[in-house]
Amino acid sequence: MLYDKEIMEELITLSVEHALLKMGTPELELVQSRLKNKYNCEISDCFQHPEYLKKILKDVFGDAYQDILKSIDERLQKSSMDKPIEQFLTIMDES
Amino acid sequence: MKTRFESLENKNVLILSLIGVVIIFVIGNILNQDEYPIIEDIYPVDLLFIITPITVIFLGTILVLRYGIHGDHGIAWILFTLAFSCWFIAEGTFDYEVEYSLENISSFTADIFWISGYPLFLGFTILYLKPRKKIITKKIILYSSIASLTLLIPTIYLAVDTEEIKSLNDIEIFLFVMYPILNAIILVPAIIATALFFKGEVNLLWTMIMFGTIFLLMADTSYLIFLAEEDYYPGHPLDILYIWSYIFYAFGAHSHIKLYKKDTPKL
Repeated sequence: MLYDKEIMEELITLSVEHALLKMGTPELELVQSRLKNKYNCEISDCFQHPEYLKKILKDVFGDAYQDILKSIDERLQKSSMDKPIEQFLTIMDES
Repeated sequence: MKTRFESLENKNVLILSLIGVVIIFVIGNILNQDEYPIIEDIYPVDLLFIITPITVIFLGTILVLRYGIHGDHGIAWILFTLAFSCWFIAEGTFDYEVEYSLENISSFTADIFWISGYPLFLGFTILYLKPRKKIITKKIILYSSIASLTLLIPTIYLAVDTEEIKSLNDIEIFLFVMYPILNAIILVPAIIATALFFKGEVNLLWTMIMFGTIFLLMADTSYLIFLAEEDYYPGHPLDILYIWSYIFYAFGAHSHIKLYKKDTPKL
């Protein structure tokens, strides 16, 4: 089970990083530092706290947040569609 | 909820800069600055046409160094800096007494650089928006184009409908009508981005770029009118609009530097 959780966290991290790096390294670094400063967590921790990531993406990118979410979603869809991932995406998608 | 403009940390500096430019132009005109050129064809208030684009280039360079060549935004900021470098050269080579002639290609030097800046600037806006292309619907493009045309058509109509326009030759009319059109083109992605990043911190950059471009459009149209009326001179109040546009672009780039500065995580 622990092994599964680690894989899921890794998957989330890769997907979020991929979506942000498409824009640029500073975008990824900004999200990472906001997560650290505001919630004392890493991107991988957002697997259990998607609302943290959602808040930061909304604050920085405003309404374009939905599209960034889509990029993350697509990346995750390609990799897996396990129940925990579905749960993560559902929380992120709630308006 | 705070608007993006209210969240601009140094909005007082922005307001003071805009007022300061007006004061400099008023003083320049009171003191008849056009009688005291610093060097040939460069008058005291013209220094603002050197300082403001250099400031934008400097801020753009910081963003280029920050982003590198990675990601769409990295390339976008390179194009942004190159666009303003072209416009800076154009400002430097501008001649108040230019007489356009197809036989003398050097009479077009400033215009060549000005025009070259537009595709670079358009490239900047397109590359910045590229990662978000999936949510840029035809409807957003249509509304932004209508908003841009709403500004362009009345100003062009006012300018071209004057009697004095007949005093300009075909090359001058072609060149000076083209600038408001080019400004309207770059205004479209600026409006799209402002709407797209609405409520986000990134929005501040685009709000500033949108205002900068609107002032540029107003300035270029006014230039056409005053040139036709033979009422354009060094230190003309319409130049305030050009300087204001550079100031808005500078504050936009500065807001982006502040947003993406390297943060040391608080422990």
